[in-house]
Amino acid sequence: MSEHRTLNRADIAKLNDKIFNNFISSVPNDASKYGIRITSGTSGGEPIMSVLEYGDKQFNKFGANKRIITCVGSRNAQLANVIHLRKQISDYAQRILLLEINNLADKLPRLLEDFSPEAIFGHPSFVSRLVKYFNTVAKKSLSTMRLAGERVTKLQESVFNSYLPKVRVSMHYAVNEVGLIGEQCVNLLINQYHPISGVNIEIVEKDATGAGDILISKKLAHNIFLEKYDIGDTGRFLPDVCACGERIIFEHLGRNGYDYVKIAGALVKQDELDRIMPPLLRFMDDYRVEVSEVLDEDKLKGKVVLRAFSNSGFPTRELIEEMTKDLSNCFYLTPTRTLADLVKDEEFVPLSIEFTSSPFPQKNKNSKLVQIIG
Amino acid sequence: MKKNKHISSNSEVRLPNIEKLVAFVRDSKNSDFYRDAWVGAGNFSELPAIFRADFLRVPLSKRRYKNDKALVKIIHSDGEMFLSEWSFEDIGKEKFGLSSNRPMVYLTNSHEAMEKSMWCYENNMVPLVGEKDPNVAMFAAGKYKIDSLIADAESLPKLMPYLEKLGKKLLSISILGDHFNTLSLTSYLNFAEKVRLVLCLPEVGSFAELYLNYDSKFKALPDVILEDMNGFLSVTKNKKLVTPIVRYKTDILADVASVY
Repeated sequence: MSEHRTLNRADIAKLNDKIFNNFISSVPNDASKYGIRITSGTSGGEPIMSVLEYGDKQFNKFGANKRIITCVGSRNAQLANVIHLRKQISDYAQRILLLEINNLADKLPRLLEDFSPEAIFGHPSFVSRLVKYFNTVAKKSLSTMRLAGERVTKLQESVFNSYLPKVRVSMHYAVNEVGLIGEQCVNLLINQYHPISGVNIEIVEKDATGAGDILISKKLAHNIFLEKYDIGDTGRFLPDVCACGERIIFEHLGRNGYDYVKIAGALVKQDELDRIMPPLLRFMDDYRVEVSEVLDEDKLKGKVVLRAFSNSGFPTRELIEEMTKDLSNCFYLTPTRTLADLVKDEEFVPLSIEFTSSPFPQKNKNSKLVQIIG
Repeated sequence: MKKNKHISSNSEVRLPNIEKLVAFVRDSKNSDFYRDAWVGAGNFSELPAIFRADFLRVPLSKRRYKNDKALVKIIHSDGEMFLSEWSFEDIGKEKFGLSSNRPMVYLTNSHEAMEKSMWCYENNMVPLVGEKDPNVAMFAAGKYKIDSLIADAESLPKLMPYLEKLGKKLLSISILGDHFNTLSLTSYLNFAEKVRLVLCLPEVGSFAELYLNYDSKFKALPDVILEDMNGFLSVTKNKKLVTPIVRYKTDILADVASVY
């Protein structure tokens, strides 16, 4: 590996391929020491397969919590949680309930009351939708919320504070293909982390606020070292020394929004925009798709706004309405559901198309996809 | 109502120690669930049937007979939902699949996928759990070079592009469900040395199996009693489960005459 080159996803894919192929060349004596992990391939290219080495390590991910709920998107991630619980040594019975989005139904509060969870581990977007299903009884036992996988938005944070004010929220920062990168101590705020031992963080191409691309260096496995890998997120260092004594605090500012934006349990992909926008480009000179999360009728929903720049007049209102309907019906935000489906299911608000005569600022990375973080 | 190919009822055969299980359940300090239902009943043959409606009605916390490290899942049933809990040790003793080096679990329901993946671990196999997206699942299957598959009849066709390109047959495909169109499933014998149908329900676990092209009838799995109760299959598992299964009446027709 070159010490002078930023590694990209293709490099990580090659590294993981090497480790993975080595793993499957023989059968492990003890299956409990290993796990298979796969990324979804959303950042371009094929999914990356990797091997998780649990070894003889003693896990304590769930601490003293006896009844744990996990809500993450992928089955791989769910399985990893279950394995962690299985391998945790404790002298009390622990049980884990894995939730899926389709479990968020009217009957769920009664089940949560029955299960009486002490802790929730999950993705912020999923958990922010789950919390409204906790009735007064189910809330009583809950003391811990541990979030990962996404940046927590201000809106999500306000939902957590509103529905579960007595629950302590903590986070950890990890990337599928390389594992854990940062942890929190009790002094840090939402989205702030210390790098874990063995991880080196650099932030490059900083703007005036100090925000830039996050590069990480760490040991992967089998004496394979990762150096200067661009994980695709933006962040910045905070100047203070933490009250815990740690000198390095970095803040996760979010995905740069170039390839995709995760919102309200769905995925808005640049590839999908490239597929569906061409028929509309004759009406505009440039466009941006703004994606955000909003509170609508006391429920967090996704919102998509197409902003179109035209320097030669705007289409009629009727034509815009027709565009809105056509686009909603062909714009896939999940493998099987369009924006129209998600609006019908009350997970998204209806699409808006707004025309402007002001051109969009051209930045170094001219992304059409823009995440509006609340 | 679900039809299945010739299920052999072994109601005339009693497993040893079944009365011990009955005594364990009846005398349990952890739950009144069965005791309340068994008022007035004596030995096993006098016990009334238990139904899914009873599991829906009684919270898990009131029908938990033991406390072990466990996986809890949500079961959807005609618009209703209930919890089912299985200890990891009990999951490992089920008969969901057959032994192999690189199994893949590809099921429609994520809860079931997790449980069957843990079955693999409990039986010392590192599983690949297939993501819902069949393209991702097939990609991963190819990379992992899977040698066996645990799936259901609904998800299996989604893997056909992968199965059709297999150079070498898988060791086994275990298809889990509570009803099967046996005729349509025989085509999977092109892709595996053994294709095995496993009758199971999420709250009951596995209870009968049939090997395509070998068996003409489903056979009860070890430690399972199958009974014909007014034309429907009832299942008893001689195991001390978190919620034991004793004369659990299903909506699976016990008497099935024809092959689909």
